[in-house]
Amino acid sequence: MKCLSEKMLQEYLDGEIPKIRRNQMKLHLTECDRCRQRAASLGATKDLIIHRLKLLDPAEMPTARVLNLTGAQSGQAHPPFFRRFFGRKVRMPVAAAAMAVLFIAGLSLGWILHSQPSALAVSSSEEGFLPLYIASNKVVMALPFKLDLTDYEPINHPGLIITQEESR
Amino acid sequence: MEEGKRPDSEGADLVEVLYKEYFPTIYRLGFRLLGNSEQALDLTQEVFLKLYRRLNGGPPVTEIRGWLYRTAANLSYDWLRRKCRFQKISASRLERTEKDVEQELIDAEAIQAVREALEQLPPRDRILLVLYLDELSYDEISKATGFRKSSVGTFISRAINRLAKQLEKGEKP
Repeated sequence: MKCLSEKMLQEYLDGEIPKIRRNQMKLHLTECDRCRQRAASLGATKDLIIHRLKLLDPAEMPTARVLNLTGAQSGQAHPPFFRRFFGRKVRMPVAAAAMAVLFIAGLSLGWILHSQPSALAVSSSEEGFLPLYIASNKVVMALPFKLDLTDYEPINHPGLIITQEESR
Repeated sequence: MEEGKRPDSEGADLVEVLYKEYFPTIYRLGFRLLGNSEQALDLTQEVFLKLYRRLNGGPPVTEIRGWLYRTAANLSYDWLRRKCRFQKISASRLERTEKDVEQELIDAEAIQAVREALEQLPPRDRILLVLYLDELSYDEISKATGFRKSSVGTFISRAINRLAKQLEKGEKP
């Protein structure tokens, strides 16, 4: 039998080797001084580490807190995003429909932006933050966010007209 | 008790029973890893909350003890990765006036040395060593940590050697 690897010695010391193999290893250890010494050294290190680690045990066991399940009664305290957003369970068809709507909306936006827009109308509301409307020759679309135009230069693009309805 | 539990209204009672039974195991694991009673109690509470939620809607738990170890190991791993450092031994503990104050100080220093050495190891090694200390089999450690059973021996051997080296470093003047 070949000399034992450190992994095999560890498994041997931890009693994780099946009986037949264990007997073979035991036999090897009686014949091989080097492996026997390594096993003894490994065993001593293991005992030392276990002894030291046991120092970390709590000096006394505290009384168990009363288990507070109130936060869990109504479900998870931190449910996954979709559950928080849509309710307890999101069924696959609903998720698929939501994805389809998002996909179609994305395609539409791409189509609008790539078609020749006739005007990009911007109307003022609060200072610096303005709702943005994009209008092409076919579709007019209001985007659901406000654009901060404070630091932006006007865009020069053929066929794109930017108008500010009320200038300050 | 160990086979596929799925309680509904009686879930809380079952978790209470399991909490009483396994509180010392999970608390001790948390204390060894986090070095702090409060955090160990928090960890224990979190583990049993997860168990309650699991029993009330998740897939059945086929082996409670293994599940608890696995959940505690995963939570500890997250906590340790978030730089959840061991706290210094509290002054109150050092100030405690016992009969043998000198012996207590020696013990406290030894505990501190082990904690500091353990803190130098990666979270994976710390968790492995603590599970190993609880005399879990390689199979149980594998289930608790997600490592392959065939690798557990190697990882434990390396973790032991690393800790031994750290302790040796700490003992050098």
